[in-house]
Amino acid sequence: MFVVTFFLLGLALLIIQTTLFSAMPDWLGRPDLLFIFIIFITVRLDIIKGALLVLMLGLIMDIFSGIFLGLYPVINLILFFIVHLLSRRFIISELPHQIPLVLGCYLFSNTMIFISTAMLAPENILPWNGKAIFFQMLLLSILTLPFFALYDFLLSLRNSPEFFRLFVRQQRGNKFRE
Amino acid sequence: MKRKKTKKLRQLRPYILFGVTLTAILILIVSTVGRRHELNTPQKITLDLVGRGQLILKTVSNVFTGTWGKYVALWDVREENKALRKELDTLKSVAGEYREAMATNVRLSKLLRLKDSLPPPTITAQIIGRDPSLWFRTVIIDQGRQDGVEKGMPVITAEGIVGQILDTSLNFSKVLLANDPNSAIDVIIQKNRSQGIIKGVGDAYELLYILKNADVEKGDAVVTSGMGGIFPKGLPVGTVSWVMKSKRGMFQKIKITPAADFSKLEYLIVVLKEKSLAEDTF
Repeated sequence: MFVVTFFLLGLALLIIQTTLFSAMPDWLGRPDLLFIFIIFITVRLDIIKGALLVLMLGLIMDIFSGIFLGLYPVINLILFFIVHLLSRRFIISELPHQIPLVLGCYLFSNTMIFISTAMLAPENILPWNGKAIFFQMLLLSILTLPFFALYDFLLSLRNSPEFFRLFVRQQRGNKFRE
Repeated sequence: MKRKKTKKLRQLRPYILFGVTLTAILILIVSTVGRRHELNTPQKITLDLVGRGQLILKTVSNVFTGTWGKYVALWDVREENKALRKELDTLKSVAGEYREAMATNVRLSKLLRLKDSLPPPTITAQIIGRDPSLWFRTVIIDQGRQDGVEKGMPVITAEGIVGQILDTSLNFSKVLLANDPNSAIDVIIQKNRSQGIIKGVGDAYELLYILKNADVEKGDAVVTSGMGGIFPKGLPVGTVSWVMKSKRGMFQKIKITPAADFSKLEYLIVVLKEKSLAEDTF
């Protein structure tokens, strides 16, 4: 159930990023909240659920971004595999390492897009937009901790049935019979 | 010993599974990369579903930005009104001259029996989503196959060309903007009819294949050539902003400032189909 919820949350972030954030002025920046969410999934969920979610979100990102189908699922999966492998050996998912982790992954992901598109269409090499990447990394470094905390809170809800009781009306028995 | 081996195998199982999945996806992608953005049926359905979400959110944000915009617009409306009245007077006289020139043009065209064509049908579309990445320049519009939009159709604004339809679903379409490096459009320099191709380089265009002996200067207007059969002839593309003739090579290096402001796009015009009425007219 929570996999579906997380998938819908990812979808909502994508919609917000493509509509509301795109209308924001350039100087304010357009934070890539979906990327923070993908890194969160990578370090917090188990391999099957995490890979499935990351793959599904990548497939949908493909429709709304770029012109090469399959670019995002592959990059997301490679990133997922590397980070998951590292997180088994090192404590990279804990609070002090979250910002460097997200920034490193963002740089890696952009480098992968640059290399992949250069290989797929060598006649149309995309210009390396260092300034925009740096600005985005700055935004990510500010937003990583609060959003990791928010996603952690949402993840913790799956283990607390009290939360779901708020939404589901409890079936009470006949108290007079007791 | 055997138990140890089984334990190790169990630990490795997810990674093996993951590796197999990744390989399968890689094979799938390598086989689809050649055809570049041709959405399959599930992807078209997803575009329709997510597009609807984008449309709702865009409508809600339009309500807020519209109210704020109307309020801000009132700030300097008096000065603007004065300036517009002045401009209107000037334009009225210019329009008179143009009307006269147009009448002469029609008369001469009839004399020369030139074949003319009526403007093609168009449809207006609203941008409901933009590419979230830093690398690509695409937008999603709220008109799709149901409205007659097809892959490859040109997309313009009143100022000039904007791009072309990359893919469509039933109600929504994806547009590849002309300032994307993967876009290429046939153009001519208006004053000397030199033909070239423009490619997107972020906020501007790069004009390629213009020979060194062609007379190109800063400020020259560039329009579509009509070659390639996608864009109608004569649509404004932009103006030359930078020219360099290097010692090596046959061609000049030219940069173009786009006629359309890509940062302020809201509504676009999709040119549906060019229909020549030459036979009916003459």
